[in-house]
Amino acid sequence: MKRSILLAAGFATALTTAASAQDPLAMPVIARQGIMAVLAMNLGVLGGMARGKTEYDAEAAQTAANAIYGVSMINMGPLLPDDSDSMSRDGTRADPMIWDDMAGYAAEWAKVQTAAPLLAADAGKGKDAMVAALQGVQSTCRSCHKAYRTPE
Amino acid sequence: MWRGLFKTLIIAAFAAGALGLWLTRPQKVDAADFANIRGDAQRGELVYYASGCRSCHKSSDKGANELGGGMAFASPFGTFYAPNISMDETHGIGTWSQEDFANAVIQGVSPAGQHYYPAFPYTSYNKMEPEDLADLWAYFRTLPAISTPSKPHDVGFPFNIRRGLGLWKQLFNDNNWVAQSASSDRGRYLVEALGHCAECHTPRNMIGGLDKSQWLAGAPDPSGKGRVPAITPSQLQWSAEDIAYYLESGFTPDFDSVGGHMTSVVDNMAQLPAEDRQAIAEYLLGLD
Repeated sequence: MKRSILLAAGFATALTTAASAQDPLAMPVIARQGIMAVLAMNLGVLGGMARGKTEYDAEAAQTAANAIYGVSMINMGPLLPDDSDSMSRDGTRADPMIWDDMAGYAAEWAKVQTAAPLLAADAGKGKDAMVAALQGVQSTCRSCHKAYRTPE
Repeated sequence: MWRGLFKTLIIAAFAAGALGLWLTRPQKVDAADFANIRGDAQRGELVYYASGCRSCHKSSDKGANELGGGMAFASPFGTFYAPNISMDETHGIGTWSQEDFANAVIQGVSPAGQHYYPAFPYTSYNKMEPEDLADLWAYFRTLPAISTPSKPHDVGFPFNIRRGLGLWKQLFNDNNWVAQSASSDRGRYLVEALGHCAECHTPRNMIGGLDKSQWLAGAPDPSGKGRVPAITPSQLQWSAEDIAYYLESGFTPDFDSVGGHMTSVVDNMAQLPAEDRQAIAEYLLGLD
């Protein structure tokens, strides 16, 4: 186990070095997309329960909500260096609008940071409470992707 | 002989001109269809969400039902600006009658008899039931007056000659259903008429008419950035529940979130009864 963690860490370091040596903007893009992926996976756990695809499970809901809350604490600023927008490079849908209106973008991420702790507080308190708090987070996804994510 | 030819040419020119005027004339609704209908504002609120009026006409994100307009729509023909359609009597449509509203929404014709540009999706709304139109108008009358003047469209020659739109309408403005038989009639009404989904999800030809042979098969985003996705079953590969849940929550089956202009669509669809989202899903799954 320890060995595999060390190995994984070694690989990650190697990848980081390779990416940053060739392209210093690659890592922030990977990090941003990783954040979104972690959010999506955990929203999927809660959404599956909300839709009735899986049964509500307080512990699993709490674990997922904690992950969303944790990720929401990340400071996005350093992950948005200049020239890492969708017009400047391939493989990202971060709209140039973010850089044109950094204050507006920051306000959107702040909405996530407000809604996520509420979800973490309510996710384990029964399905209805979880669904209501989940809607609070959902609306922040929509609100930010409206102007700041480039269409596919 | 030359005199005769000259005369014939003159007559031909007049005939062509008259034909052109006849072909491009603004057509109005039959007033009798609307004369005896009194709309119900409460029912109209659902028509309003289903028709997505505010997605384009809202003035800002602050008041979702402030229809002061101003949103810009880039196109190959120029940039269109959504006009003020609030109840303001000077800058909005506060002085309109129900019949004026019907002519605008269903025929794409202003009270002064001018053609509207088809950026306004009357080519879809032309299938709206008269009762729904009246209910929608009753609801509109409850919305606030916003005193922002409408911004003129930025459209160059020859598209700035509105009369020419009469010809465009002859070619593209029919009110036939595209899906001859639908798995859900309600779904077809919501998708093809009120929801006007095809306006963005179906590609257009050189002069802006919908290519109905590629119905809902995806299209370049009119903004020039990216694409509007295909929503036919073979392309989308979502279940009915996936589609209905997306329209309610904005989440794809992978829990990616809706973005761009579609966020406004989801804001509206989320207000509809669950059966309506289900009907839309059934209609879409019945395509191909």
